[in-house]
Amino acid sequence: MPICQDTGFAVFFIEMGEDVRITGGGFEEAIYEGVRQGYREGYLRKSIVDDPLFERKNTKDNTPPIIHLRLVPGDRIKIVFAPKGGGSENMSEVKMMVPADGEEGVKRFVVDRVRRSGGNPCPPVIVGVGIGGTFEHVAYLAKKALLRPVDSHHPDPRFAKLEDEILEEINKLGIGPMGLGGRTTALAVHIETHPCHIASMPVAVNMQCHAARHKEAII
Amino acid sequence: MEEVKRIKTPLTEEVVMSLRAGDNVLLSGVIYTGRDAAHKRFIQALEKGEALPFDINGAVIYYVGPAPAKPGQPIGSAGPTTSYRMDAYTPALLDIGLKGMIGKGPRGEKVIESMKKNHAIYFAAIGGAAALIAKSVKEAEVVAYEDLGPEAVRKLVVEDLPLIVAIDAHGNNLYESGPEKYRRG
Repeated sequence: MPICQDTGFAVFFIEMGEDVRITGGGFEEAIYEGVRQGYREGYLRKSIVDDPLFERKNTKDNTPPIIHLRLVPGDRIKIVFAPKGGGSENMSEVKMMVPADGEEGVKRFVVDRVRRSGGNPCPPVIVGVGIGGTFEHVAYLAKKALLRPVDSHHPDPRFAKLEDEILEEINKLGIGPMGLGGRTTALAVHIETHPCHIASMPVAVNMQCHAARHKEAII
Repeated sequence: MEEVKRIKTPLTEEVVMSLRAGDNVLLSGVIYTGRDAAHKRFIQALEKGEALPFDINGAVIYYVGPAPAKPGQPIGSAGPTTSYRMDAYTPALLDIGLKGMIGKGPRGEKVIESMKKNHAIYFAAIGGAAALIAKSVKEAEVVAYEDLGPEAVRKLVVEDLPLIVAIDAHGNNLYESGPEKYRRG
């Protein structure tokens, strides 16, 4: 039985080796079929509706998934499956900050996002932060940050320090488990970064509830 | 250990008014599930002058979209979903007799005002502890909107469902008083 009934949007991060050749059917269709089988045979909840605004009819098999595909050298396929719950996803945000906002601006935005989320995203949360890139890429970075192990840090010590500082600020908020008050509001803050345009400093916050479930396989 | 209050549905005025934010309760009896899509249909039904699919007088609605039941089990994992999404629909339901709601996360001002006016209570269930919560569900049956899948309205029979009174009928709000105790700096 899944620990949380929200078994999420099926999100995949796939690194495809350039020497891999798929035969006997399409790669994307294979992922779809994997989602159908996994959600059916695992008795997982089907949480996807076909159109976002009007009919919102359940697709009944949890497809379509979201697939982030990257080509890498080699002859293997690395698949990371990260089911994403809706409650924490709804507390996420992208902000197109400007270079003058600086470190303080980033800190304030992230801490404020967690404060305004209160008990909604099922704290204690893991906070994925993207900084840099473009409007769409920064959101991807924030999601990718959630894949990291909870005790990991950004390789650049300046960003690693910022992760620790933001985590400390968040845990001063007192929101606590389920928002009912407590010392632990976040378990980790993970920052992922990318170079960006001279005019920009996009920042994204993607929230992950405490039921953080990931699975990785290499074919 | 803190005292745990055992309460039963349908909720009486006396029980509702005696509960205080922060109380631990074990709830038993019949409750109904309903989340986003079902709430939209409730309101559409009311606007058309149609009846709701269950008797709302004294009823408790649990904001949940359960996972499918495995063979031989009444229900799959069944933890709460975030409640504020139902805020827009809630006062209209409180006005016609809804007495209790179960979910997670804070509620808007209009909901709290309506809870005070109509003497209703809001319980928090523990998000993410859905497999554990499912153990309290003894029977489950879809009673309306089957096409909504996990969002269909189900009649649940629960036994000792563990809940915390998050916002009481007097307006005390654990989402404010709880974090206040722990806030630093």
